[in-house]
Amino acid sequence: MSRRFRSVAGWYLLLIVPLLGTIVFNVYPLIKTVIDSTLNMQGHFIGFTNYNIMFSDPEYHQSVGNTFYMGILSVIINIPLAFILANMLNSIPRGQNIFKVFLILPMITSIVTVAILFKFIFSPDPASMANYILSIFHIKPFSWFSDIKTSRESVVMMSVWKSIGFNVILFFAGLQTIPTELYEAAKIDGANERQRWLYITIPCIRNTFIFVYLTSCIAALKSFADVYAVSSEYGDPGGSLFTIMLYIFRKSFSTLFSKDTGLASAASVFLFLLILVITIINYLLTENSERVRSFFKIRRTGKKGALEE
Amino acid sequence: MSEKLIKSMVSKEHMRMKKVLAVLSGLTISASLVVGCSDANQSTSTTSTKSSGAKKVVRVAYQGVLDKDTIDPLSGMMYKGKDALIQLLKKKLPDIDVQITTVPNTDWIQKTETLIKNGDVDVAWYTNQVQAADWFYDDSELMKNDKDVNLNTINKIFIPAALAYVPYRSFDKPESTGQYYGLPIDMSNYMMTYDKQIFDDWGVQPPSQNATYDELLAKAKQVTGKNPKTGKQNYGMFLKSYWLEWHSIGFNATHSIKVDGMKLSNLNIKNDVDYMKDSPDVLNYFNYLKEAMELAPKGIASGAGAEKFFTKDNDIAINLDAGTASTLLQYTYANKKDITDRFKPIFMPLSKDGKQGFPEFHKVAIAKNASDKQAAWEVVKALTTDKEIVDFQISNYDTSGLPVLQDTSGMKVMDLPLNQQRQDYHSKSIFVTDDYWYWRQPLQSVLTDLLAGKLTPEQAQSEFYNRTKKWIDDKKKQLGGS
Repeated sequence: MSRRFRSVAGWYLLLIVPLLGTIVFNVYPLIKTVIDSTLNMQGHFIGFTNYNIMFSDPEYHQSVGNTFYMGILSVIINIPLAFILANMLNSIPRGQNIFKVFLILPMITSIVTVAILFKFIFSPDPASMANYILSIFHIKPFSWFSDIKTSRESVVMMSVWKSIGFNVILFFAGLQTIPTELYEAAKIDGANERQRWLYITIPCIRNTFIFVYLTSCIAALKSFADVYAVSSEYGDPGGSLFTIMLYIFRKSFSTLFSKDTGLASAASVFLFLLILVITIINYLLTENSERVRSFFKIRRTGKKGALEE
Repeated sequence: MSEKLIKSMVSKEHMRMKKVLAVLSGLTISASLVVGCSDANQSTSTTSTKSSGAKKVVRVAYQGVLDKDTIDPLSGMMYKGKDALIQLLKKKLPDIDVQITTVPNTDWIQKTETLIKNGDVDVAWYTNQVQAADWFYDDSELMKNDKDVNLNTINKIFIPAALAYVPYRSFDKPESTGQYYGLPIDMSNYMMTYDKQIFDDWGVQPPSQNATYDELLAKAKQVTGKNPKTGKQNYGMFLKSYWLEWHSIGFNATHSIKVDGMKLSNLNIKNDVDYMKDSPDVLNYFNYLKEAMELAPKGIASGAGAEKFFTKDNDIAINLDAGTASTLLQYTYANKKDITDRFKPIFMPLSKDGKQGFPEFHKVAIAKNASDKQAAWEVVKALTTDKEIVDFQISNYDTSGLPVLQDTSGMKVMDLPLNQQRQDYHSKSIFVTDDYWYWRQPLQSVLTDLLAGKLTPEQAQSEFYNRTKKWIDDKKKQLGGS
């Protein structure tokens, strides 16, 4: 056995450990879930019946709608806000660590504690903290978590407050890697602050943007802890906080609703595929935008050599 | 520096890194093996070892049992931990070494299921679960050979209502109909609560303990508005979608069913489903709730608004949330006169045929893969039929529970006059049915929508029927039209 082969084989051997972990804790449960999604409560094979039931279930439609609405809203607010905060943090010469601690604190706070805090702030009582602030501006009180018109937005506000610190730190780390020489050169060339931000800062942390965007999308689709902490298994008011993960939880483990492992598995498999497809699309649109543009160009013009062009 | 030297340094660095990773991987594998291959009979929260001398070991997973003696912050009562229960069981079952694994209330189903499927327990606590057929061993054979608890004596041991729920019945598993998955320890009992002080402030006669729904609504209307004494806003009623479906029994909006072999095809659709479409009782139920909503605080759609209940600042006159029973009983046991003089119980109103409430029985049963089923059966019997042990469990782990034994003489929990009244009322009126999920789940979602203002009472009635029909159709598809 050559020295080279032994050296390479050693690395492969070491990689087996995480690979085994992935197989045991990810691949096997996934296969088991796919199998369970085709079984009834008695363990008999029923094909795609669970999927048919799920797709015709108004509660499932509601959960998908809520998940997407809250997910999109959360990503739209979270990423730009985190980027702006990271830029502000990067611009101050001293005390960055103090601000970082304050931004990280909500992230390390338990979601249950955060929910209790926000339930207090967003109490439907006209004298609650949030309604009191509104009253200063002569705005009528809201019922926040208790009204179907505002409950989803209130939960998004809460989860953005809790999770934004992580994205700020990621953006901040990205900003720190940009060489100062680029800014100095641009300054000499006469670029103003807006141009430096637009043509140096944003392109240089493109990879951080992609990472934050993808992880935020996946987290948004798997939204569970925040809605569960606010509304328990019910997803109240009126099912407005009922997400796909809550649907799965209810069908799997709830003591208050009838259990249906087959339906829960079908919903889990569909959520997995949904996240996979969305992640691939996002990846293609962000990571390989040049290739995608070329691909569409080929489709449009029908030219085979468009990619090379 | 020559290129050769640099290469050699890089290679050495590589080798060092590989060694570090190899050591880390080795440690990870060793840790995994230690955890994965450790004695399956030893759970992380089980205190004792597998065997102690010649004694048989029975491992019990018990939800609600405290790990240590604890003082309840609300009532100031001292509750005994699992060691005291183990000692009591040791006294009663000297030949068996009982080990208890505490299962927390949160996510208890997942935790219990994991313990059972891993073979970590021989006996487990559960309540009203359709998955009982997957988890537990059918006790029928053991009961045939038992001289104390068998099919001939069981009706003399437990009250009829509890006995009715001992044989398994569920639309999900018709093939398991009639099997015996354990025995009941106690039953839950839900009550509503009213604030006497608010009625006194308004000069209105408070509702009686056995008030009807109409009486409650009429009283609630009289005490809604600015309190004449304090000037603060008072709400006549509080309700939330949680458990609200169980009030449907008292309104005759739902009723008990009898189904041969628990096959959905045997369900009497005309009597048990189609009636929902145009039943005046169903419409009355939704109309009532709509009227009650007008008297309640704003947050009811999400279960909020009653945070000040049981405090001096309470602003709710009648609380329809039957879950308040548990808190009220804790104060009653703790003899907190300032609370119990002000907050009083109202029993759940009865239907035309004298039925009410949620039939919840807490049980213990033998796990399917229990190592010694006979020893496990002895533990199940002790936990459910020994008066001293049942009394201990209710006093310490389920203070709102009531015994289901016919003979409750000498039990300390029955010293409380309220418990005697509850026992009399509940044991006679508890709702007995073959299955309730076919209407319960659809009704839960309808009530959620009604409380959020998404449905009118008429729409709620129509949706109740449609969603129940869909539940049945879907279940039939899953079960192959059985």
